[in-house]
Amino acid sequence: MDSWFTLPLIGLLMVSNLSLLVVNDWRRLMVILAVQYLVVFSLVLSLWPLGMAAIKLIGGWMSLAVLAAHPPQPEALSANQPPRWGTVVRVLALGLIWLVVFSISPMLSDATFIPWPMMTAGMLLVWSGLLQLGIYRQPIRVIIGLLTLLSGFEIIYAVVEFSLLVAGLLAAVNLGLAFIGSYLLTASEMEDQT
Amino acid sequence: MSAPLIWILFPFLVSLGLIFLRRFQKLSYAISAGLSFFLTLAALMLPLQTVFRLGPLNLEIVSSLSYFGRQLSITSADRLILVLIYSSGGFLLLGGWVSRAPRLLPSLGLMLLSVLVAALSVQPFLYAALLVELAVLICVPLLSPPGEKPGQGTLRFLIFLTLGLPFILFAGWALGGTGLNLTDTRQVNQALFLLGVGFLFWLAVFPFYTWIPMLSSETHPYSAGYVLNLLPPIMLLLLLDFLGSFPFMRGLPAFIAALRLVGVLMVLTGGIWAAFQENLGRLFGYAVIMETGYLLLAFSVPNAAGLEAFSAALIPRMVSLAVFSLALSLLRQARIPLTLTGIRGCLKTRPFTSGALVAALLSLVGLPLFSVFPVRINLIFLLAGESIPVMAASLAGMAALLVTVVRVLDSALRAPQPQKDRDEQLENPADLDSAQKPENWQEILFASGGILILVMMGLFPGLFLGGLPGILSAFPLLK
Repeated sequence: MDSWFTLPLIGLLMVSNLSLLVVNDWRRLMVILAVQYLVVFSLVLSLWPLGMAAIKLIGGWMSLAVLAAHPPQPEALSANQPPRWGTVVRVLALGLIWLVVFSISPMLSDATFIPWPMMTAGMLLVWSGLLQLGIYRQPIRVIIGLLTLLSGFEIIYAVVEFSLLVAGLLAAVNLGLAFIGSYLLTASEMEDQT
Repeated sequence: MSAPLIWILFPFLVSLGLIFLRRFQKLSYAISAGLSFFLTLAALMLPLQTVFRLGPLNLEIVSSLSYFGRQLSITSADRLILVLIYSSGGFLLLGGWVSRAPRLLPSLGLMLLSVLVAALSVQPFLYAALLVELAVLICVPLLSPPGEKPGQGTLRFLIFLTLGLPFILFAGWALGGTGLNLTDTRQVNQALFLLGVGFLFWLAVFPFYTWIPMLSSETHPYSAGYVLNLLPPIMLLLLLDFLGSFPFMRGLPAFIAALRLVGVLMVLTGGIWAAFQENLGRLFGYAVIMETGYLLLAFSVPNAAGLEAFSAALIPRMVSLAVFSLALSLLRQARIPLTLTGIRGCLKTRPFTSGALVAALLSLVGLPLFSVFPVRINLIFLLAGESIPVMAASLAGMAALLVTVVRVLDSALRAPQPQKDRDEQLENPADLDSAQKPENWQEILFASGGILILVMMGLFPGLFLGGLPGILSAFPLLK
């Protein structure tokens, strides 16, 4: 795999990781996630034919469309910590994660025969997703964390599994998560049914 | 006609229809529970792969359904698994009506059953991981129904079970996709590690079980009970299904040691935390954790007797937890706070409901005369033959839970709380009327029915549990 092609993409993923942690505006978050899905698609495109790789892009963007259908209140997006120091702590944590990812990716790549760029890109998203899941308690942030984590996993899994059905089902899982995210955003406002 | 059409697609489509009927609660429960019982009977009676006459028609039910080159396959050997899933689902759905569970329970509950059956019957195995994830997504609206703010327990449930998906998919690839080379220990260890971590998340094994007490204390007890009653045993059946293709794994010392360690930690820590619980919802969560621990311990006995103990424990566990969650739901319905202080004097004011609560707890401890006793004593003897410390730790877990039962009994037997204190605990003044109302006939019927089943299963284990080891015929290679 050409590193000249993948290195800028890995850089873009790092920017998206950072942005997801510092941005609290709904529209910007959706744009960042859209770009992230585009990068995932570009990476997978180096392994899969266009038609199959497009499943990642279309599935991801459809998930975002479902999520974007009901914008949350601003307080449903902000972190638990006070704004300034909370952001500093989150960025520091992300920095540590990048250190870990860039340290262990070559070893994992050797152990599993998965190319280094794919392993690094995948691990960046997986750990960024885990960080979001660990930091945030808001349902919509949890869903964004899970979508990010699954995107990272899908990059790595694309190297070993070429099944169209699996790709389709994973896209369905992404969509399902987005539906659940949308549901969780509106559940408390729905009519009491118990 | 094919078996997956009958036991997967048909209930799935009906459950979709039931979503639109959710306002007609009695009808929804009648259809979903009725269909579950019908599918149970069909699993017992309909011959598979054989031509039979139905009036003027000659019918044959083929066992598999292909889609995109993959198969959903239900054979005659899977009949008892279908009976187990749909009968327990049917009884649980029936109880949902009296416990005033969220309106989505009949539809999503039935949908969950059909998806779990699909996960057990899909080939190759890795597709089961995706179907389990679908089942998890179905559970979320059940645990966080419309009108309620989603709790942290529900979110953690979603997070932890979703985290299992990548590991199981990788394990499926490592074992199946590449054609496992058994002489390559590194490859076998990698596959085992991935499988193990995946099932750690799916089974909410120590230390990933923190979401269970959280979930059971913040959601409707019956919804939590429905999900926690069905998911762990079916995950373990999936593990059996997986191991059925690689039977050598069950004999690996590392695998057995790992199962035993997490099993005993779950029983011990679950019992100890339960002993200090004030909240009955959390207590239910710890009971679920302990029961999963016992299932893992039975699984860890590396011979046929261990698997038989595992399969025989499924029904008593389900019944005890179902009666427990039903009792909690009935108390909640009467606006009684689900705490040890809240249930003070309940044995006098709500004798059947509190009786069911105490009976379910006594059964879960494994005391004689109750449903879990025959299988628990068998497991203790099996563990004694394998490892005395593990057996002793299991007994310690049981003793710790017994302490809790004594505390619950003590609280339920005490004089009711002074009216002033009770009024302060109630959020809404209207709740006072509900708390003072006596039990209605439906509550009495279901609570006393639950107690009766628990006792009958304890008195006549052969009658109720004798056929359960037949479940293992679905996994002929496992010993």
